Amino acid sequence: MLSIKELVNKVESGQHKALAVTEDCLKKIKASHLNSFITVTEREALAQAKVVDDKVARGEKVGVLAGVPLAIKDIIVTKGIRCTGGSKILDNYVAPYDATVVECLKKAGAIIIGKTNCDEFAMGSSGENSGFGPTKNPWDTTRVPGGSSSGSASAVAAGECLASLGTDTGGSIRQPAAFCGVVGLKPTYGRVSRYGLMAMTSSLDQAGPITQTVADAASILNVIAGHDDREATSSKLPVENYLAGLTKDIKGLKIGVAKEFFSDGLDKEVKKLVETAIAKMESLGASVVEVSIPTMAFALAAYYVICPSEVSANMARYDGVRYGRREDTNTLFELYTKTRGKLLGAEVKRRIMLGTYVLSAGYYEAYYRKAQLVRQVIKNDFDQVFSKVDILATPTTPTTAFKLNSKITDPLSMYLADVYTVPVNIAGLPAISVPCGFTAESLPVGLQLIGPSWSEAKILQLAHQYEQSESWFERRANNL
Amino acid sequence: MSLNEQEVKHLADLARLELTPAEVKNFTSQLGSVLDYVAKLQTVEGEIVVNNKTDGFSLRSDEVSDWSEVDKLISSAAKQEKNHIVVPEVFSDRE
Repeated sequence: MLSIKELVNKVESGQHKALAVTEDCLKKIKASHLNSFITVTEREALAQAKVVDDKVARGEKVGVLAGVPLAIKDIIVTKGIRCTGGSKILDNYVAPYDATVVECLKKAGAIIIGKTNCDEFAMGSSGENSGFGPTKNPWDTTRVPGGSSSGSASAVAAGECLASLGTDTGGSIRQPAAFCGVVGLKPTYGRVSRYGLMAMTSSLDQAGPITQTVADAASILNVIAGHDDREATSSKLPVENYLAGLTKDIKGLKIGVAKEFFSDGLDKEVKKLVETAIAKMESLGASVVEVSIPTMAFALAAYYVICPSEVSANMARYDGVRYGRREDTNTLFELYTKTRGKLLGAEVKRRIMLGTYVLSAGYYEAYYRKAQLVRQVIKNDFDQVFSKVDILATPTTPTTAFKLNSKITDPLSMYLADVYTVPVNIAGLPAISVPCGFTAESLPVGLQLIGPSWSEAKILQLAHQYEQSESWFERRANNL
Repeated sequence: MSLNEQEVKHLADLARLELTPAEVKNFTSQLGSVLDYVAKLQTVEGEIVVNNKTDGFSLRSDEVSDWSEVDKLISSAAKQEKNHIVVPEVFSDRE
């Protein structure tokens, strides 16, 4: 598939018709067995494509993403389109507005091809918590694509679209990107507006691109980043051109390697591929510095207190009253308990109850306040490390994509899969996962690059330089 | 195990979730495991530093504005009547 830049150039010049590109993707989606999509927006996509082609024919200027077929995670609202959040409770909900990120993409001429499958309300690391069946990994359909942005990652890896938007609260862009052999970027908290994202953990959620290459991720970030009056936590910091610095060499860049990311539980093959990638970056002129983040050991525990706490508040709105499905009941109390009991999935219910527990009187100090303290300590630890190095290089995940149904009965083992991604969200930092090779079983492995706040340009530069020095991005998945 | 089934039933009640007996059983052991895992947070010492900075944050002015597509909101509800959302009685024990 062409890169975003190449495609837009061809559409702008009339060489490619946006309509043909869109039809091609729709055909691939129809033939696919991956279950990447909950809703395919065929009619709307074809209409959007026609608008782009008509503009080109009239000699009018088109946007920087003109004709690019994009998929949107179903936790992000799209006006007039069914938006389920991956949940049965919203299975018939049609959003009356577009999320800010969707508005930005549409304004740039992107073609919204459909809403991708995801773990219910973004809670999960495999796609198996979706109310609409799990998505399959295009590299091995007996395995998970990762989650919670499961469909967003599999769709890009399978060529069902050129790029997608996911959301990342504890690793939900980076982990599926790693499992599916594509690029996934989580921006600094506040870099991209959360207006229109169904809130899961409001203090951690962030939307970001999943793409075939680093340059494509930069193209998308250019469009979606920026302040939004409607979103109180969005940053006023000006948006750089994230494409501008990609081709600068990395001579003199200090890459930190923290031993806590290379401990027990890290698969041997994953370790080797990541270490080889770090050595490659060294050969390109970077220097490697050993660092340590001792409080990393507490990040996952802090996350599994903070996340359920906010979830318990954010899920209260799904009560069968204003939107979504409701159960037939006699009393108002039953309306809530039966609707939520029947239509919310197990993981969502677990996190709601966990949050209710840790926020309750008697436990609030021991759990919630402690987790907030740990959050501060971890942030300080990362800040200290970034006074010594420019970027941290780590594996994205401790293993490659695991088999479907292998962790679903043991929530804790599922949580432990996020051990390398979660600390980044806790500290509010930006991070990217970029493919760094394949195991003997032909499963993709991801290299994670973490930077200090607002350093998206630097991590994109390093990721791009590494990516272009290898050819992992040229390998395509076969199983559709 | 950090939780018993009674506590889980109480939590479900507070969270307005109707659980099956099987769910109560499973969730009790699963939530117990998670609570055991997060207990390590207790070993971290220190005081939270409160950050009172407001730079970069802006709140909109507290002004009511009309939204032209209210009907789209109301139509999202499962049951509607005369531009209102219909629910079972709120006060169910009136004389």
